[in-house]
Amino acid sequence: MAHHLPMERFGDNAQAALRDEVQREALRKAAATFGERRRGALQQAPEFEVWRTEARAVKDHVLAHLDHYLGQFADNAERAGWHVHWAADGNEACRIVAGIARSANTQLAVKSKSMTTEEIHLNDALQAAGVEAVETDLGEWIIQLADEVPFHIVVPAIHKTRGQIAELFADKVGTARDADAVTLTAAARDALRSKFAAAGLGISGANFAIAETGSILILENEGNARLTTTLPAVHVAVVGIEKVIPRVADLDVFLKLLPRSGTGQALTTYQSLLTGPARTPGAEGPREQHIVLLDNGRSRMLEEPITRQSLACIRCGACLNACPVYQQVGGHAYGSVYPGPIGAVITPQLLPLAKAAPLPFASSLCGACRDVCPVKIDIPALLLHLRQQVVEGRPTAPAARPSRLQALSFRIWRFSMAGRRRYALATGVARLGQWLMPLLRHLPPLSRWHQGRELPRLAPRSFRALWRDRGER
Amino acid sequence: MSVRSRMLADIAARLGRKVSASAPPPPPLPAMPGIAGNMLATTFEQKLVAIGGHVHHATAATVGAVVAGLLQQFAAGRIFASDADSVRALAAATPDRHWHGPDDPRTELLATDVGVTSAWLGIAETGTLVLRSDLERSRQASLVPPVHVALLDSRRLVGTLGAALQQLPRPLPPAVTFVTGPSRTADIELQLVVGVHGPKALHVVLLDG
Repeated sequence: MAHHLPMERFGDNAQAALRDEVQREALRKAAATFGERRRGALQQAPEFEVWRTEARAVKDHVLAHLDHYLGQFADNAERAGWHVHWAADGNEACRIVAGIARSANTQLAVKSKSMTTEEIHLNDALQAAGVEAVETDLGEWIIQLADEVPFHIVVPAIHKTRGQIAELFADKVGTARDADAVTLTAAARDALRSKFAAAGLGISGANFAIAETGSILILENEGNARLTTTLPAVHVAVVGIEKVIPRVADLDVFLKLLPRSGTGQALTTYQSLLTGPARTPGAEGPREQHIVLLDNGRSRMLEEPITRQSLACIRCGACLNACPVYQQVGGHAYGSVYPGPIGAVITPQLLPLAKAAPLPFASSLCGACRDVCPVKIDIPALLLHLRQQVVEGRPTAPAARPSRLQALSFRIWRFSMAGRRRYALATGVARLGQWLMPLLRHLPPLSRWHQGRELPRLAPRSFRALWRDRGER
Repeated sequence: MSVRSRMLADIAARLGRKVSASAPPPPPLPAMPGIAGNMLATTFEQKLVAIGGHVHHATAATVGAVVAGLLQQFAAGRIFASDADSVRALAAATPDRHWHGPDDPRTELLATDVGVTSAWLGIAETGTLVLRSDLERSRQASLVPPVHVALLDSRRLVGTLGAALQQLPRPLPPAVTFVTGPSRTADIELQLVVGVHGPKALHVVLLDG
């Protein structure tokens, strides 16, 4: 059973990650490649900005009427032949899926990539129920063989080099220790084909759930989601309640935004639009299909408009690729299924805030995440909102409490900004004090800050003083 | 109280009201740029080739020869055919090869070399095929073998994804599959590898009217 790093200790995790040169090289490459591909895709799509606004409007509308659309989705899904289940939390969802596996009378399930099932630790629950769940997305399978957790929500094994994967496959599947990517991929195809042929249950997530037809849509590039939803006799999709969109026609704008933002493709290789099992004899596909609608802390985010926008996320991963913090420390340091900027926003809201308290602070608030987000989520504003909750003592974790020096600095700052005289006094003191900088810069705490930066010097006289002189002349 | 009504009531309460059976209409659909009718076939071909697919032109008279040529090229001994009439006609015209259908045992189907299907629509702007499970049993034939050969009537080309979505019938069939190029992955060091779980080659035979 793979474990996350403790998210309460983000700082320590980040320090350790910074010492991993192999991982940092992989991250550099990934950030450069994804950034370049996304920019290339956007150059071909001059209407991208308009699409972002329109997609966000659809999400805002659905979230403001989520009870209505979720009910409509469930009614239409049942009409289409899906069995619809409701799960208030992860444990309930796991119990439901284990029950489906039991009634399907199978010990083997194949899974296509789903962050939602990672979130509820479905594989562990199934294992406890005597069902082996095999990940079939290549990246996810690599992670499962290595007994790790995903490093990125779109490319789970991005931190591993080809050499490391070749070593892993040599031990687990028997390929050569110097096998190339093509050989490794072919080995995965062969090994997983036998799983697909034998599995009695296919487990997937969904990118979108369409209220007017009771359909789900799954995007992918590999074809494993198609196999998962076609070959086993029974299929279950675990779907977060925020995935609902009103109309089939709404897919257009989301399918234009999601692949371009995530991988820089105009469209991923496959989209499966699934609307319940076939009723004609001899038809292909599962004979029985289930949907598990999962809340697990999501509805809490509806309460305030600022937190509600967290549910607009379509899990494209663009904010991870753009984030200077993620680019340095990678996915594991966050200790959450959802890393990076969006993870730092979602995790503290899904879990007790105290547990995830350091995550909203794992950002420089540079805003790169907001700039690339295809549904315009204001992640920096959300981070600030969550930081405020953390420091205002909504169950505070020690890790996020400011240091004594930090607290003192802010007290001085608050004092000197509270009136004009105080401000003049403070700048006066600073103007004198800066003559000590050549000495102070070599002493802690400034010495470390100064390793990569220069403190700009204050002008010899303030603007106000100069203005006064002008008036007198 | 069922779990459903409890969860919906909880959502409504968080939104500050009681559960509502209705909602105002969703935002109007955005206007999307289209593609001129005379550009459909060229755009489709250009987009599909750009992402690693292949396009072959044929007429009703030459389609048999074009597909036979492809089967020859891939040394296809075992062929997985959908049950579309146009595909069945090809099978009948090439009896020297071993043709499988969706009713054959799964172990045999997993060992086929080439899948042959038709496609309901082609989307020019992305080079995408649209397959409908109610018209043809093509879900496995288009997915399981390492090569997928798809017959597409050029009169079935539309400009955009939006136009394709608009033409979908109601109620929707159990599965509508959109296919844009060969199966691909970049999960190992972001290196593009084709044919990971689905076909590594996609050949579209475009039937000109």
